[in-house]
Amino acid sequence: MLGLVIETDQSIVLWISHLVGKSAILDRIMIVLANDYFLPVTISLILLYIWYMGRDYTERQKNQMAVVSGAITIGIAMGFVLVTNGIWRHPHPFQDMPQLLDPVTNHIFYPIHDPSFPSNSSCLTFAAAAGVWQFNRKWGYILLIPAILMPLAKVYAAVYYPSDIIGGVILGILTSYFAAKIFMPALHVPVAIGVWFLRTLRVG
Amino acid sequence: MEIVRAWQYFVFVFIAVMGMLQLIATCHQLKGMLFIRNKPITVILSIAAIVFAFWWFFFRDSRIDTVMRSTGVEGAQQFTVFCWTTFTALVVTLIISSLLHMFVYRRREGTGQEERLEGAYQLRYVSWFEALREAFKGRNGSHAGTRHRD
Repeated sequence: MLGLVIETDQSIVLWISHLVGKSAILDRIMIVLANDYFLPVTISLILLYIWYMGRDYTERQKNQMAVVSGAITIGIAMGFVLVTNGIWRHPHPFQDMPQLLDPVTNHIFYPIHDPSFPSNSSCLTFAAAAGVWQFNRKWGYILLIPAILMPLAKVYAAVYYPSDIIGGVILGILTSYFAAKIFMPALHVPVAIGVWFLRTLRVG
Repeated sequence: MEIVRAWQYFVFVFIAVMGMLQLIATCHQLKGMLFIRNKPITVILSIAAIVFAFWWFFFRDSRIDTVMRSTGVEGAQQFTVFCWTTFTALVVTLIISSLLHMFVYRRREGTGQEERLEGAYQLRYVSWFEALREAFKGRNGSHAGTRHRD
């Protein structure tokens, strides 16, 4: 079973990596999307916008809970990624297939050192989108756009296998459910105190 | 080999967040947070600030193709710098806008209708300094930020 997954992963990455170098525009777009800073900062700026958004008090409260949920989900999901990485060190495509290192990975991104499974970038972006989605469906769907684009660019750069991405996505979504349904209700009082504090300081 | 430095990331996030806060303030009529009380000018300047921040960080000297081809500011550090920078940008915005409110836009504005205002939305009608003063004087109570027709 695992052999079949690895074989499928490698053939998908090899097929996608054939596109690298064919179109300068596509390569350029993927360089920007795969970047470590571009989409994470964009998502954070969107979260900042959602924090202040809302026609009335109830709507604002809902949006602020969406941001809190997104932030908590990211924090917990990154913890889960660290634990998983400590248990299983899965190699990256450019390590399994060194012929991709120079023409593909170094052309679009760079060879990263942390384990491949689960993909931390897909986990982070999907954790943010799914965390927000638990309280605000519309903005949750909007955040899905960067959440899909960043991992896609990483597969294009042969940095992750599709199964690494799927692992990160599942982890991010499950964590958002855990954060919204178990973690946040259990920590209702500290979360409410935090929001009240920010509101008293007139920043929330 | 040159890498992305934390201070460069700080400057990038600081300018982008300042731009975003002005955009938020003008879109949600948070006049107490605005630097310039002209909606079209604020929208143009805030979008320009965000675009400039991204250009400066990514595309100046083709940094995206050179400096960013190795780990610079790694994940946890990125998160910490982002949080502190956002906090700093928010405080700087609120202080500058309050000072402008005190010395330039002195008129205290009414809502025109009864409206329940809490938290940041009190900045629709008063500066941050005034909102904080009211909050800590305990004048708001259950009517936090409520304004009536002037």
